[in-house]
Amino acid sequence: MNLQKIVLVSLALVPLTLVAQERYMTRTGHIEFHSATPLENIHAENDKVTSVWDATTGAIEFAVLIKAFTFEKALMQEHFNENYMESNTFPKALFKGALKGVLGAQLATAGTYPVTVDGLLTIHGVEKPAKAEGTITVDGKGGIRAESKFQVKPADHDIKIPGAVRKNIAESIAVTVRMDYSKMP
Amino acid sequence: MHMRARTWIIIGAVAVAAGMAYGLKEFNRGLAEVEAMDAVESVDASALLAAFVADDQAARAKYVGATEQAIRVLGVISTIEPGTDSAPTNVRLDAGDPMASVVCEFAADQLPAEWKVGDQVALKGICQGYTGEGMMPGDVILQRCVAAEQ
Repeated sequence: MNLQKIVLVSLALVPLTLVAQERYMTRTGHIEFHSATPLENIHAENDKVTSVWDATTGAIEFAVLIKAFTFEKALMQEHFNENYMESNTFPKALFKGALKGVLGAQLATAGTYPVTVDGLLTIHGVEKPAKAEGTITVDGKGGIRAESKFQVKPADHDIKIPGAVRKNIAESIAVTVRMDYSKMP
Repeated sequence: MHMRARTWIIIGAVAVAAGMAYGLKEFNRGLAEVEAMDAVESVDASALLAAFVADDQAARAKYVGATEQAIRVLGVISTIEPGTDSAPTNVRLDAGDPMASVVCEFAADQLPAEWKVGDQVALKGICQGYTGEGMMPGDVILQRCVAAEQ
């Protein structure tokens, strides 16, 4: 088969590949983080996380607007954005990776499936490998919820905590993720 | 001399108490009420989304700002979605793109009860940016929204 035929056959197969893809997304995903120290507890939530998951290939992506994290106290929110995350310079946190443990065909059956997510996490403009365990819960009515809890160290992403408040902020921050995915048209 | 020392001690104690009171008040300060803020920009939902899609950095400088600011947005409600769990209600304004919109978070006590899908509305909120990234479609996000004058 010459090169021209290979290209033609490949192009003819592209639509079949696209049809076979099962992609899910949310634009109202939830992420919260919690820093616990003896001096202070700091908690923030974000309900506007965008995520796309291709259940055929396992590819998964997240985008999070840093300024959309809301805190109970204005001072915490200001310090978080201006001093630590520098959200005017680094407006988003991103994750690109692969989800393993559940295949597209299993999503037709209700159940909770343990999964792992492995990829690159970019926070504060610093990209680091990241891995987390979680679950995918299928309710059998089209609802798919992904949940995970993991830890992130600010120091790993070059987030500098001033000495005066170092004891107020945990070295490792607990992050909770909850995504309710819908099938993409 | 004894009298002067006592005066200074009293002044010092008052200053420390005032400083502590200010610090405590500042530490516990809640988020600013958007209702009391003047909108720095007024824009149509379609134009707002188009600005972020065209040039995210320039749109952030104008509509998000370096520090918290309120903007006024006009548009037609495409959906009203109660938030799951403890999340706020999302009012989506049609921005002329089937894959993207302007999403406005309302606390339960701020969402006008008479608002329904198809209504032309004006609202005020804190613009936090555009969530789209690469091939991922996104929305322009406004938080702590309140109804504004048409």
